[in-house]
Amino acid sequence: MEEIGLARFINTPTGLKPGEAANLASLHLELLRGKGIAQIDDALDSLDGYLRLLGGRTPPPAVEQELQRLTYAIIEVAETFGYQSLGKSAYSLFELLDNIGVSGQWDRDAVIVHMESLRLLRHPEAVPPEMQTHLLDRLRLVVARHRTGSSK
Amino acid sequence: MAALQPNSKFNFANASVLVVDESQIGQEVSLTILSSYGFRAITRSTSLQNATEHLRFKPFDLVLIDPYAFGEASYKFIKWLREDTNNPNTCVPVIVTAAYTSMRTVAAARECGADYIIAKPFSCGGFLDRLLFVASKAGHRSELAVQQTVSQEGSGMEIW
Repeated sequence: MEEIGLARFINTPTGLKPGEAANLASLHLELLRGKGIAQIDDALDSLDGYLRLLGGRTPPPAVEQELQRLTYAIIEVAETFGYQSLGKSAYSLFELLDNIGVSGQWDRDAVIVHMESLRLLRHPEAVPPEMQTHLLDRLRLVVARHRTGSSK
Repeated sequence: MAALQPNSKFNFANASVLVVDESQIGQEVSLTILSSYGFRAITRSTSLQNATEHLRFKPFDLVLIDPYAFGEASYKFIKWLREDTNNPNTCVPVIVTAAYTSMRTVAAARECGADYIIAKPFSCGGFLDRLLFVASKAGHRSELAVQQTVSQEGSGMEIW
């Protein structure tokens, strides 16, 4: 049977083997490392800026959305460039913001704890691995307090 | 349908892919990985409107879309693609890429007719595995009637 769609491009006489292609991709991604880390730092600075401006106030929906967007920007690249714990803590913050969006209950303390963790984990070499694990576990507990049935 | 045989090769040099992602770095990461896999014809879109135009006039072998920035509109976009039987891409494999995969995302992707969800960030080997899996299923969708391709198990959708 003649293959159609993407199927016609696999099991070909010439081309790449999966291992070769994955290695090439890892190598080429390294060229984006600078941009990726710049995106993380910009997003962290912007998040900090918004939280400082907000003080004790509840963010309007547009700001809440922007906080989510900035957090998404960190998740998108952190683990790609070796910042596993940073990526996980950003994911935790996104989940928290998602839950807050559903419940409408802003929790500055929970967000600030996440922000401080993100700042710490941006420099993972300064945080022992067991401390990173502990930190992520604590963040999970913070998010669990906010989890709503309709969100997850 | 042909799964990739052990030790065999693939060649995406003549395959065309559309990457729909509002994030510039997201696009660059996808582009870098796809070109490392051998894709040469990569079209990028940062808006659904632009993606729609491309899909109307050019056949693709694969569509990747990150729905985050577009919200609900991205799922309507995939549904439109599936239901527009005059579109040359109505049966193209659509992979949703998402850095945050809530149950809502999975349910929405399933209902609109996407084939697969891949969590960002991609691991270079993991992304390729999923891509080859989707490739091995490609063509299956076109054997089905349109109403079967949306939100039905066994339609070629592999969403978990």
